Parts: sequence; structure tokens; C-alpha cells
Amino acid sequence: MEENETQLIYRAKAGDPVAFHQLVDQHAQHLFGLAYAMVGQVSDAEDVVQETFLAAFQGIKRFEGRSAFRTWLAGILSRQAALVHRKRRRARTVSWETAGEGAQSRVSLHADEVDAKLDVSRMLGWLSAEHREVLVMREYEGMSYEEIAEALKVPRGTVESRLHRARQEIRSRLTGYTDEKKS
Amino acid sequence: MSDCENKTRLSAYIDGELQARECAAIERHLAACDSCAAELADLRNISRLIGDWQPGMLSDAAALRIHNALDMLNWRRMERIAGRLAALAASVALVALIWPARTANVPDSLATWEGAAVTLSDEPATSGVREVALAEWMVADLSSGGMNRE
Repeated sequence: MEENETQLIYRAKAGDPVAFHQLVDQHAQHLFGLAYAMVGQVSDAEDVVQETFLAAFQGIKRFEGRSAFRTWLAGILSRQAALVHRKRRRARTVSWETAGEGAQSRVSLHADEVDAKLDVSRMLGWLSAEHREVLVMREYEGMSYEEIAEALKVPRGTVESRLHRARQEIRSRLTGYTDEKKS
Repeated sequence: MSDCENKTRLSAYIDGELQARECAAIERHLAACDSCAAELADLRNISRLIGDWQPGMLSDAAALRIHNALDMLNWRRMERIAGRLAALAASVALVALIWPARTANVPDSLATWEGAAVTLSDEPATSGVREVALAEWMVADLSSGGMNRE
């Protein structure tokens, strides 16, 4: 943790809202990326980031510095993303879960038209929420297994097995895609 | 070779999450197992693809909404604190005004809201409820001109 961030956290814990606003500026962009990777829609990702910061603001006195501040935020964000998934299941709106359905065939049929960004979006859509969150925390956020375990409050072995299954899922789906591209 | 036991550790291997001894064992195995070597290459490609992914930026409007929402939350918090402080100050002021005049006529043993106000606990779990009850007692007593007292 940088000294500057440590000072901002100290001030924010003491009730200084200006310091918290500065922490928001420092972390908003990468949290948005993480949120988007988890929920797959810009508007939902923005809501998740906002709720994450509001929850962090209300609970910052509970942050003890045992993990990095971004790890602590990522844990809150993960819970907020889970709420979005729960709401979607109730409302049956479009989500990663439904966006992923049939994506493999579209990628395979129109491989030349699909750019890398879209491929990654679709790849993430193939995964369950649990597998997606560990994968983006590891690959996009660069978090260690220990940090992911701390953020998600799960054992380290669970992180390792979820990551393994997530990559296996993508690999097996992409095999059809790459085979078709070669032929 | 899909049942190769080492495949379950390849993810941890590319993430640098294995001990040196385990890494050495995996590397020895990779030199002899084409299936695991091919899978490792695929996993690295997937890792690179997602790691390089740029999911877009948080818009300025969304960032502004977040800051505004935080300001609103902070404002409500300040209002709550100010409200409680004002209520407490009003209670103390009332007690200070009325207590001297009443104490001459009220037996020491009689329980009054003045006495309750002075001994009001500041435990967060109960103080809000007790403050409300105390305020209702105060209003009832003052509006009856102290007629409820025997």
C-alpha cells in the first residue's frame, strides 16, 4: 500500500469525506473494470461500483489494513455483484448468464468478425458467477490466491479449484472455435 | 491423457502459486507429457487474453453520480448526528430550567423524567428508544402542568 493511500485511509477513517473522495478517484476505474467483468452490463457495473463505495464509506472504520485496500474493496464489490445476479434471477433480465448462451456458435460462425474484446466478453459469459469472479480477480486485477480468498471469504484451495475449472471451461469451449478457424 | 493428475495444478503453476519443489516437479512432468504441455500453452493464452482485456472506462457522469451519492450519504449522517445532539441539548436545557423549581415540591423518592434524563444511558442499542420514551414522558408531563405527579 502506498504511503499516500495509507494517509488517505487514516483520514477517511477519522471521518474526513474529502479523503474518501480521493480514494474513490484512485480506485473507481479499476473497480468499474472488475464490476463490468462480473456483471457484463455498463449500467449494472456503474451501480455496483457506486454501492461498493457507499458500503465502503459506511464501513471504513472496520477496515483494519490486514489486506490491501483494493482487496477489501474487491470483496465488497463481489458481494454487490452477487446482489445484482440475485435480482436478475428474480427479474429474468438479460445478463452474463443469458448472454453466454449460444455464444460459442456465434463466435465459431463469424470468427473473422469478432474482435478480441467481444471474445473475452463472451468467454466470461460462458462461466458461472463464482468462476467468473475468481478469474477476473486473478487475470484482470492480478490478485494473488490469498488476496482472492480474503476478498471472497473462501479457503485458498477453493480459489485454486474454481480457477482451474473456469479455465478448463473456457478452454473446452474455445477448442471448437479454434478448430473451426483452422479448417 | 485427460486424467493426468498434474493438470489440476497447471493453473496454480502459471499463476506462480506453487512452492519451488512443486514447480520443479511440474516442469519435469511437462518435459515428458505432451498433453499437459499443450494444455499449459492454452491456459497461458487464455490468461493473456483476459489479462489484456480492456473492459472500458467509468464515464465522467457515473463518477460524478458516485461522488454525489457519497455527499448525500455524508449529509444524512451529519443530519442524524446534529439531530441527536440537538435533542440531547434540549433535554439538558429543560432539565436545567425545570429541575431547581421542581425539586422543592417533589419528594426525593418520586421517579420523574428529569431524573431519567440525567441518568440516560448512552448505549447505542437502547439510547434511541429510551430517548423517545423520555421525550414522550416529558411532553405528557409538561402539557399537563405536572398534574400527573402525585
